[in-house]
Amino acid sequence: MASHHRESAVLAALVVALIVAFLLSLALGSVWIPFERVGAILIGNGGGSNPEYSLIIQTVRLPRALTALLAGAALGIAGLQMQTLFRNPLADPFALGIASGASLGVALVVLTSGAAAATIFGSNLGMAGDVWVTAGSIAGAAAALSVVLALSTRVESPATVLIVGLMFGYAAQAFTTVIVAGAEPAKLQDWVRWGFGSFGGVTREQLPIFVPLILAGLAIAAATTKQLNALLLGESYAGSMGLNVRRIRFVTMAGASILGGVVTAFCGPVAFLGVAVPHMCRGLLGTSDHRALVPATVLMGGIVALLAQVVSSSRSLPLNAITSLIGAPFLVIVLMRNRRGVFTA
Amino acid sequence: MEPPNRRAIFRAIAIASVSLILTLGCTRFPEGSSATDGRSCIEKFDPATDYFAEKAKFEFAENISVEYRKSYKVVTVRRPSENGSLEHYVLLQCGAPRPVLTGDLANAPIVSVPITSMFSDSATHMPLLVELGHVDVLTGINAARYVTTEPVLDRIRQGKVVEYAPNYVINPELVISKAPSILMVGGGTLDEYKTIRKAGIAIVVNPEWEEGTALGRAEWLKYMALFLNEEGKAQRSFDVIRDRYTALRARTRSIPERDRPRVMTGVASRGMFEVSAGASYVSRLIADAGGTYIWSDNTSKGVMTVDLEAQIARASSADFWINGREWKSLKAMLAEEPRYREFKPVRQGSVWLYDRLVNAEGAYDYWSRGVTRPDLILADLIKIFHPELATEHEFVWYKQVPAE
Repeated sequence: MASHHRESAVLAALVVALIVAFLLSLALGSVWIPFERVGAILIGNGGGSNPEYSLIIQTVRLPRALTALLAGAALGIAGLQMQTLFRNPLADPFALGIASGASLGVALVVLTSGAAAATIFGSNLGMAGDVWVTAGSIAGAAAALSVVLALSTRVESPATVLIVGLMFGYAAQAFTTVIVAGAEPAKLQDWVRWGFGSFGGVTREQLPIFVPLILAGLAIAAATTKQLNALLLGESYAGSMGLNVRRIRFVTMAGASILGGVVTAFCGPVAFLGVAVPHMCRGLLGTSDHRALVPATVLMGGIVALLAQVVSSSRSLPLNAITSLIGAPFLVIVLMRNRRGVFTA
Repeated sequence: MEPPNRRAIFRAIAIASVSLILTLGCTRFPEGSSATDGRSCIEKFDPATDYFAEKAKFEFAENISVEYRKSYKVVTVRRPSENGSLEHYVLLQCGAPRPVLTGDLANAPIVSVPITSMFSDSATHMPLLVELGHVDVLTGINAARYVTTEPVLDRIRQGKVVEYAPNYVINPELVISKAPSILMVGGGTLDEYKTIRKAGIAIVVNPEWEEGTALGRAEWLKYMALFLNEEGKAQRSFDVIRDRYTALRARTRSIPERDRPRVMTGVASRGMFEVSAGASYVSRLIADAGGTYIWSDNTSKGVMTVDLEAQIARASSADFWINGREWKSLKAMLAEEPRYREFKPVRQGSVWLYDRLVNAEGAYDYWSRGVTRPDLILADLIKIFHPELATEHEFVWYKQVPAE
């Protein structure tokens, strides 16, 4: 029972921390807006004598905070799913080539000259451009995962599967580099900035694509917590419990590639969150029970992403540098305190 | 540190290549031309003769200076790149004996002038060669696809120019084997060229884009001229441009602050904004054209990245937006980034781009001729901000972005 108390306490604390982080993300930015003004704008009272204040909050900070929250949650969950599926504490969307596959998909769409590129840069198709980038990213992520998945049915050792995922990732990166080398400088600038990772590129107009896809991916994880728990005990055990292992593997992989692919498409390859957030949650909760881990990972992913975003935009530093800098020490502390190993039952 | 024997070998190779260039250089010019016109090699060296009759003087460019010492010139680029330290080059009249150089100059690259061949890593160097009538010295460029200057494109089509980094990766063996008199780089990339410099190829920087004024930037024509012994030609060309520029600027001098439109620049990219910096030549051009640049209090040079929200705070009520990406219409702009709507110039249609003249390959004439013709850029900008002050002027590069 004590562990249930602990779980509830941790989840409650995370909810509070998430709200604080979200408000911080709205209140802080490179332009100083007094807190009372931020509050007034949020409850609909406008920016007063500075109309640009409400513009900044509504068009820059609000979509950015929402994106950070959801992207952090998505990456955390994708990492959790991968770690459980491969029973490997190092698995995350990057290690299994998902992010590299997604990057390759985006590079193909963004950088190659031709019809696809024309739709995005300098056309009047508008939203169609984002749809293409997102589709490219998800397709790349799914391609990477299906290779890894196909192999994982034939190879017993999870370590071998992980290595194949890494190798696929390197191959995808190599193709991406070849495309980048032949691209035009004007397009490269966008590409480079995409690679830094950013939650600020998603506009209010894009949120109707971004939000439902992420929510769908998160819903898959929320609906499969029992099956994930069973997988943690080994696939043969899960099979003996009457679980359709093949199906749950497929559903979980599909969910992870949607989450990883969508976030990568809109925010770039955001490092670290995917592998670290599940460990932080396991450490805080003291359990690997997915019924507690999934909500905790959603909350913790959102918190870490929001805090990283606040630091990144106030210092004008690339997001990818920040996620690792603030996340890594925290993860180490959590792991050091938790001597029972990473996967606790 | 290199072992001394290796250094000696490099030095021997360097001397050998310099003397080879000297020999080649000398054979290029017919006999009988005078020894002080700068175009021919010295046949009988006289230490008392000043071999450079025409001397360059820099009025606006802040980053460069030259000192004439009878048979050679000492060129100094103060800030070759953002954090780079001062660079010296010794330009030695061909046929003159190598001077004894000490101190800072002991390790400076020695270039025999006039140069007979040249590699370049920037399309902005091309118009300088055209203006001085020496496209024929160009023998190599990093990648042909960035070139927009017509006479240079011709030369590339004739196969007289090699590409030494067509996909960003420099091929040092190609550069070293072709042994150009100089390899001119745009600055900021010097580290990449270390090996080539050690092999004895003279790497010279041309960070013209770091100048704080358009006239300073255009004056780098004289820098190119130093290597070609064309100081006189460069000075005469530049004087015409300078006089036209200052005459145009005089028209906007008396415009009071309240009548100066507020001007923004740049492109949004994933929640950030790439803009011209406050101490850039673009910022200065805006001021000279009778406008107020929204980042004019900033002291950086070149371009800078600001947060989207910082840009909104400063620019949402701007009157004009100049320079951006190749937007075909305001509608296309908004499709790319819906938040462009928050800027007044987009809502009222006062966005202007320099895409009036674009060649068949889609390359902008502005980026080739614009380097040496700030007077024309200024005239275009005055016509945008204060049409009544430039009624006689026809737009050269700038065009208003249409709604659809």
